[in-house]
Amino acid sequence: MVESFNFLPLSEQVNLIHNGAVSAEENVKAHLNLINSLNPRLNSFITIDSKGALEQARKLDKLRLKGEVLGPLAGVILGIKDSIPTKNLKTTNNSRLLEKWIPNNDASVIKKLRNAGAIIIGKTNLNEFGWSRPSELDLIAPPWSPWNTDRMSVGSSSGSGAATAARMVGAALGTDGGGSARLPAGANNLYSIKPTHGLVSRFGMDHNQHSEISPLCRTAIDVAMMLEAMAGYEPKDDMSWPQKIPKYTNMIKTDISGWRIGVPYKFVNSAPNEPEVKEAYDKFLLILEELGCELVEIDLRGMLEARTANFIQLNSEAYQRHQKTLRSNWEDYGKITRVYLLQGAFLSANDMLNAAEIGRAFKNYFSDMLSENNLKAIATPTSPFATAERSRLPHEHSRGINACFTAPFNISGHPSMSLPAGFGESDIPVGAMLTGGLHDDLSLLQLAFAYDQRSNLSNLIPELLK
Amino acid sequence: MDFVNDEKFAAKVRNFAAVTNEDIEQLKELLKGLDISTELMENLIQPFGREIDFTNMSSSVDGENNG
Repeated sequence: MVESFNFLPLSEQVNLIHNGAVSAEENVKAHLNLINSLNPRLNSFITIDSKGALEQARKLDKLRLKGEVLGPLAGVILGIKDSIPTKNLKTTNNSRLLEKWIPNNDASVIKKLRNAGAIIIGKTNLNEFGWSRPSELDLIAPPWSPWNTDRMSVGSSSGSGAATAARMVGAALGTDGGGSARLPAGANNLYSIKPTHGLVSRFGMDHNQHSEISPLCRTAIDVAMMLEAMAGYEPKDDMSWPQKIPKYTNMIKTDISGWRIGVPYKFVNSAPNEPEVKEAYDKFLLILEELGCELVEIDLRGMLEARTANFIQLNSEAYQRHQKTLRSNWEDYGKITRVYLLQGAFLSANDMLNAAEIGRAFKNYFSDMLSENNLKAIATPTSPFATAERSRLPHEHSRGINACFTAPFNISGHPSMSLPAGFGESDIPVGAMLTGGLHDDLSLLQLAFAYDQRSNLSNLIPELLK
Repeated sequence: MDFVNDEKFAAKVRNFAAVTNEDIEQLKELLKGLDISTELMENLIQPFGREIDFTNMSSSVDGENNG
């Protein structure tokens, strides 16, 4: 396979398009070639919009020839998780119920990305409604990992992870209600941030209260560029945060020596970490130390309680949205999804309020713990499992063990970022995670950038592409 | 959740959707886990005026408190 600008990070592709070395149309065609070659094998996409992407590209190229200023993401090729509505482009949620749904409007985040010049090339595969476990009986069968095509890409933003790692897109959007973007990022050697609650508006799409829209990218600087375009106040969204967005890309390079990073050894070691996860986590911590960070052992409490509260809210909110269609269209749902969704019918308003109160208490506890210890972030693995199959064992999935590090920070709202950390069994990538203070997404990006420069893991390419 | 009276439980579930017997068996398993979760939440809620204290909560993935 010939190396082309597909293989460059998004940030470098943008430079080539801005200076005219590559046209947006050439960029789209290069990505379409790779999609046509790989997607039949990887199943990353549900819908591919070749015509729409080429039209967007030609418009951009005309603007550049006229000498107009192009947006910061001009010509960047994006895949969008198929739960995020896109105007005039089918949005199925990988469900037979929405197999033919073509939204009339873009979700707020899509409008922002289009305004920044990004080109949407297609809609990426996911677990049905971003829920339950993937099944071969889904509307579209689950995606395979480009790192090992015998393994499933971890969900629920599984297509976004696989498409980005396979260079079929420059970056992709996922959603993260309990780890659904950080987990596939970790399993695909990618960077992904679940931003602080309210930083990126979910207006215009179905969402759970603590589910955030996350970019999945190959480098840390790519994440910063995406987040800068996605973030911002949305007046129609009562959960949107009215704050000024820092220029992440200008501020990302900084000296992180002396930054204190909390390491919850006791909690991390209590997880059923596979050996490769432990090894990758240790290497991750070593690199942070080499970069001058001070590792501080901390006693992290209540992660099980916060995770449980998060899943109670997720279950209840999901049932609330599906109650009518579960009654009228039971047979149109996947067999696993429909039973998972029905659980929420057995939760009371009191259960929901209890979970919310525990979530608020954990949020305050974690914020206090960071400030009392003067920590920039804490470091954990992203998932205890290096193997995609194991993270999907029904018994362990129902206990949410695969989300033991990620889900507590959904209900707390803290920014949390998965970074590449190494490779496990059968060449499946392993992630490590940094979680920081509310509205301090910048520090996570700065840590990730410094780590990216040192670790060089983002330069690795799946064998499939060589 | 009381699963002792299977017929009563099945009738209740069928109020929500046109479930099959297989669905009901799967749901029962999931609800056992959900019951443990809601009970845990209830036990953490404090009477008026008292904060939920996370500093004394579990320290492990399985919810054990190892001091």
